[in-house]
Amino acid sequence: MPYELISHTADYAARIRAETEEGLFLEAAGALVSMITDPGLLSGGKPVTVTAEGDDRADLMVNWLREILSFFVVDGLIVRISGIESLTETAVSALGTAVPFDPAKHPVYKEIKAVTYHAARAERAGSGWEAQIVFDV
Amino acid sequence: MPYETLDECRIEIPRTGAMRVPGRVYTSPLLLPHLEAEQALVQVANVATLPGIVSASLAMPDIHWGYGFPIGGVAAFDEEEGIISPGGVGYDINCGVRLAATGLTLDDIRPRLEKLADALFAAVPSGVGSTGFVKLSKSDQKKVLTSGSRWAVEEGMGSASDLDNTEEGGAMAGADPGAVSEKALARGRDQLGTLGSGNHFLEVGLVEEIYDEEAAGVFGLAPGMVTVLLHSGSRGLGYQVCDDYLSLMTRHAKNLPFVLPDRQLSCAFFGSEEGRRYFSAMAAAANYAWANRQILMHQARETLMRVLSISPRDLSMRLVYDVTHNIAKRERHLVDGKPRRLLVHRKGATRAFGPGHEDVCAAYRKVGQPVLVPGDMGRYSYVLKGTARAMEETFGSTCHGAGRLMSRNAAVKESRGRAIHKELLSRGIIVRWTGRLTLEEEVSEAYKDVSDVVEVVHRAGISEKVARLKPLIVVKG
Repeated sequence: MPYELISHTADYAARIRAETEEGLFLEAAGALVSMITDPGLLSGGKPVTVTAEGDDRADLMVNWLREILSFFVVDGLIVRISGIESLTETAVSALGTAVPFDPAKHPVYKEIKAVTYHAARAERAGSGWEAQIVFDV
Repeated sequence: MPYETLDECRIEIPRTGAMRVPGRVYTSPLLLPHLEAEQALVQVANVATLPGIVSASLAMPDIHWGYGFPIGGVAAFDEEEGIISPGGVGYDINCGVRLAATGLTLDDIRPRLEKLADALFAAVPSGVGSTGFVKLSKSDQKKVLTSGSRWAVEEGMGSASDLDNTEEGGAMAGADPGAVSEKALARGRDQLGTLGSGNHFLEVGLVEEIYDEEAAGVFGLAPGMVTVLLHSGSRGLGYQVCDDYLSLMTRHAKNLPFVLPDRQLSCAFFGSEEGRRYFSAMAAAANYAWANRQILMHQARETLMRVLSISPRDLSMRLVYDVTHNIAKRERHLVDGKPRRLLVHRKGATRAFGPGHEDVCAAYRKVGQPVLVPGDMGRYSYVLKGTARAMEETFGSTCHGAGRLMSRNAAVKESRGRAIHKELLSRGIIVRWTGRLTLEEEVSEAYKDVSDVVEVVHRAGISEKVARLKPLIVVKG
């Protein structure tokens, strides 16, 4: 599994690992979606571009996941990211598919209220990349 | 984190490094080992570094590791020189608790407990993404954000006395819907009258024990009385307000003349444009939460009357009190004998104003403010009263609940293979729930025993026990 849930008393914390920086952002988006619902049940949808900016990598990771969460909580769309188009330390742009959330088809696992800055990090780890994010639930 | 023991109920983290004041934690030898295992004490010290903090960075005995500020934290900042921090309030702005008393006893509802549980579960939307029966137009939503509970009462969902028995009269001054983003408004548009998920609940219970007959009498509580207790907040609207302003203040943090020990402590000076706008948006979200709890109580009242086939007079349901436990409020306190205007952040802490305070409604003023402290779904909850000592030591604040012991993951692992709902039923508690893992995550053992927490604040004198409530029906998201 590219991410694991780690212990945090009140909330959910996830540690995400990938071989590349692009992979880290891709896996982090996937981790958030799989905390919300079963990604295997998502089908169809419309193409969407997701962008985010940040002061540094950790800030960028938080803002990136905020954007993905925002699609769900504001517009009722689950976004599956298919590829990272461009990535710098302070900006990311990606292509994905936005699938309308259907409570009859899609189970809801967690109410993720927000992506927090608490202990947020996104950095090189050995030969790969690692991020840690605490979600408020 | 080094600390000194002050007395049997308090420890102090001495002022070191960038700390402007010491940290002071209400706890006990029983609770302290849990606390030391976490980073919560570090978070108490981090809060003590923020500008304008007055007296001490405080924490209540239900403290646990939060994000930035600890949950269970109380921090008062000078209005002129101090900061305001969205993280010091929390994502669920004005998450709070409301208790209603009824004229019913267990005998009145015993034959219909199952039906009542089903009907309440159906009437009170809960769980992720649930929507309420109240469909708000944009103009009505703005009225909710400025009028709070009053809007719901004017729509026929409650009575004027409900407003008297709600902290701030159910509407905080200074709310500005214009400071709330379109995203936040969209998240809140169809969530009014919904419970939410996680630790939010609606309980039908009983007054099981009275500790203070005078105060219980003033609050209208008597042994064996059926009660309704509910815990909810500002739903997606509040989460988004917090998120928007944390993001804004994080971007501006590099311009602040001090270093933040944790990004989640992002803040602005209260006197700044960003600080004032956050306060206005937070107050608007707080008002949304009060309207939400007012509507939830109305739904519970209607359901009780329908299922039991009784009149409003037979039900005699009245709001005892409604408290908020995630808020920043402008208050006047005596500091070293001098009155000061402070902005008191309570994140997972409850106001506990003592006898005679002008902000306690007239009916309760002689005994002090009711304080509602819910426990976990399988044990009990408490009604306390505010004290003069809380005014002296904690800016009129006390604990807010049991506080978690286990992470949600650990609780799910611990509960594997168990039928939690059957275990609760064997203890006389009927539970209805929405989420796949709700019961496992919220299992009693995941929380401290709330009586251990309450004993600390009672012994420390920052609030005093009035009554204990036992759950009969629990509805969770």
